[in-house]
Amino acid sequence: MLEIIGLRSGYNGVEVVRGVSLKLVRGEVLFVMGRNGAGKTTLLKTIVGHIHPIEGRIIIEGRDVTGWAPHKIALLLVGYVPQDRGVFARLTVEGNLRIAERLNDGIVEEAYRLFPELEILRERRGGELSGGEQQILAVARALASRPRLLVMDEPATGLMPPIIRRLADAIKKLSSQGTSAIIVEQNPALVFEVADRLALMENGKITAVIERDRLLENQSLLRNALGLTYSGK
Amino acid sequence: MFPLEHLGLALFDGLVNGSVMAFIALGLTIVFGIMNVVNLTHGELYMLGALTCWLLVQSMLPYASALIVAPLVSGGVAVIINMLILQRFGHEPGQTILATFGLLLILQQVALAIMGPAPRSVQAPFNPVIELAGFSYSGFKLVAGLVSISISLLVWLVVEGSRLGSLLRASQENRMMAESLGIDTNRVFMVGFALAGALVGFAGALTSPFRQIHFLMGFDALAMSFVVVVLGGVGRVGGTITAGLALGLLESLTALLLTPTLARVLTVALALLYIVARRLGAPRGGWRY
Ligand SMILES: Nc1ncnc2c1ncn2[C@@H]1O[C@H](COP(=O)(O)OP(=O)(O)O)[C@@H](O)[C@H]1O
Ligand SMILES: [Mg+2]
Repeated sequence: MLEIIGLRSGYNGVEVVRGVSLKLVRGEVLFVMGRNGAGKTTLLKTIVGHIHPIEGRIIIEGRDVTGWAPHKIALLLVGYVPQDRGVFARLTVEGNLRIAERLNDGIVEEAYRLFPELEILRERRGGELSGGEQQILAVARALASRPRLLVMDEPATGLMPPIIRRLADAIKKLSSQGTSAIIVEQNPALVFEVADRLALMENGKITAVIERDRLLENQSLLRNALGLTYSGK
Repeated sequence: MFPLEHLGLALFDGLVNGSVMAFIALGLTIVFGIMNVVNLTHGELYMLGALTCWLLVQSMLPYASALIVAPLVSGGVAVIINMLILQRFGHEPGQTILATFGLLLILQQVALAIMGPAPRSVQAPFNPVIELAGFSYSGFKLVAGLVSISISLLVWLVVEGSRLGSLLRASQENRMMAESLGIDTNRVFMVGFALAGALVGFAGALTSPFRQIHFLMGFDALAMSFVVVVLGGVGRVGGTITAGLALGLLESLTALLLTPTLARVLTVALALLYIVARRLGAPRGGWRY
């Protein structure tokens, strides 16, 4: 559960997110889409506490977390995949997972279960992985932490289609167990597979919210804003 | 040529001095090497350990009490410095260097006010002369060397093998990501500072019986610690231990031929030369530590 009320945030007083309000119910998966520089990453960073908002409130699991230290927000069971992946170069794959054990004791086994390819790489250092391998690790770490809220910034970047399918399945599974998710992503395979709603972000503001069952009739809007086509089921 | 027994003594003394040197540098490996915080008060925390030892022995307390109190004093001061000052600006390098340099001067003045400008000394609690192959050696210094190397190896094991090492590395590399995995990075840094301070404070008390205690003694400890840490490869605890031993040996071997001061100058010069040569010969993107 996530509620964002009148959020404004940015860097050194320069507003990048300029008045965003959103509400995610239990188990809901919201995708945020928009062109480069729209402020999507800044919005997610503000939600997880990396940036303190200039104005507005953020409520996670019924608690007002505005201004909280990021580790306290994480301990409400918020799983975060940053745009730059956040893999620790000096820790091994297993070390990168084990470090998050405060979120879920069984995170290592759970991550290997979701993405068995990680187990083969377990002794490799984060810095020695390819971009795609790092992305799998980042995504696995967030999914395997058994989050109540998932916050993902372009999680499909650099992933092969079969892995994107497994990512989609894992998100759907978590969502069916009550995890809400806010995901910045334009990859159609992921969006159309798991989105309950789409939010369009332009210039720091949410300009449109589209329900899943209205994706078809809003095709032209999406195409114009993003160059996306709904080809799905 | 010097007689062979001097060589044996030099090798032995070099290893003992090297162990001590590595032990003194250990805290800097943690704070500078792993956490990437340039803490210029490291030498002063060493001096505080020695000063505490001298004060306790002056007050008729047993030397052994210093081995408990000195780490508490230095560790406590390190934690206070971190909490009141360094943490406030997120350990930003420029401000950290400036702030810790200021603190270095303040701590020196405090020490000067307490013990005056003259060098002080502390009696060793026990000091049997140990007869070794062809030479005799101070029993206390030998024990101090053994304690130094033992604790250093233990810290190496802890930092490499325990969760603490991973927490320190992760918090340094990407503080925000570590936080987002539920890690209180301020607390991790606090533990790092406390451990580093306690170790070097202990070293200060441990070495008091065979070193002069002086309000300016911290500077030499700081400079040598930086040389040891960089020589051993920044962030590598095992490297720090090896580098300490190598420098100790080099210094006592050169001291066979030169005055102690010249030997120190030559040792540091060789170490710096090696560091520069290693950097020039490094593969693109640097060495993988
Ligand atoms: N660390 C930063 N400091 C200052 N400005 C930033 C920083 N990160 C992003 N910005 C600016 O904020 C705006 C939005 O960036 P971002 O949130 O990354 O957009 P998006 O993720 O939608 O591409 C851009 O104009 C960008 O230049
Ligand atoms: Mg972005």
